[in-house]
Amino acid sequence: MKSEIAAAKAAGDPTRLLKLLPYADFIGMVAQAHGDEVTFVLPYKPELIGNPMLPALHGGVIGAFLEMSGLITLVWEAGPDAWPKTIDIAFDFMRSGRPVDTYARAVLAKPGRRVANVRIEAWQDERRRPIAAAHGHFLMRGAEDS
Amino acid sequence: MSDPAQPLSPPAPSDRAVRLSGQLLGHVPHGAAIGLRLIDVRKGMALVGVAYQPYLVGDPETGVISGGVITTLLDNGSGIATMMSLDAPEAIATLDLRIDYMRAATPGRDLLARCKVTRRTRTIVFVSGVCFEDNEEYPVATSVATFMRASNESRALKEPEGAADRFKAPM
Repeated sequence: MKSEIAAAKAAGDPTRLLKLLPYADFIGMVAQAHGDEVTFVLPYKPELIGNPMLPALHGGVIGAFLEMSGLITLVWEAGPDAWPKTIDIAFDFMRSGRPVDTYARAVLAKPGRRVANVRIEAWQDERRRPIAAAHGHFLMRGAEDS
Repeated sequence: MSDPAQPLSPPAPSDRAVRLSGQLLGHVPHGAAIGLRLIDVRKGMALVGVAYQPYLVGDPETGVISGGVITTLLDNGSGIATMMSLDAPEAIATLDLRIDYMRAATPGRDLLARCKVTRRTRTIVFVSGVCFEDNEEYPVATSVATFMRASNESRALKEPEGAADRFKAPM
């Protein structure tokens, strides 16, 4: 786990970490690091649709995208010994996700030693018009195992 | 009565779930992508399930299913419970969803989610959910969600004929 993070960071490629998570890979998530910021991309594909009438992305997919963006940002920035576990997460859905690419960025609001508070926002064409946001707590393992 | 093309270990779907599955879940491409199944429905209640599959894993070291899959299960289950609480077809939209993870899901085991409407107003529906393997008293996760009713009322008028049928919530 530690060597995988180190290798991904040395290569400047957070997508390597996403490839370790089967479900992140399944929905097609990728990530790019620019300076100290990681941007996550969820390229559109028809399997991500939840409501074909609008059409709109599945809320669960948007939630998963937000959660895994938060998780990878946490791993990328805090470099724990083991994968953090989600304690709780709350999603706000502001706009329906259109059938286009979606982006997300996460901020470690409180990168604690045992528990980290992470805020994540997702948008599509306009950064200032988020489609969804989330805030969650993650249990940092290594320091304390449950 | 269960569909042999979509195996899921017990419980088998109820007759009503089999009958309404196409209408309530058949139009959800991502539901099909992860193998989401309708097990039972009643007024204001939905029991949905997903079979354990390697591509749904979220923790590579333990093989535990991704929180994202649980999010989809609880979001979709809560949405179906909401539809099952309405007297007439209506489009709905998730306003928010909060999930508390009580423990890791057991690797290799299928997951169920039971979602119940706790309160319905003219504009909002409140839903609580619980995700578990076989014992509701020992949950993997619990959720609360709120849905907005008639979220695309103006749009519904312009829909092609027959399209609105997909949102019918028969009792």
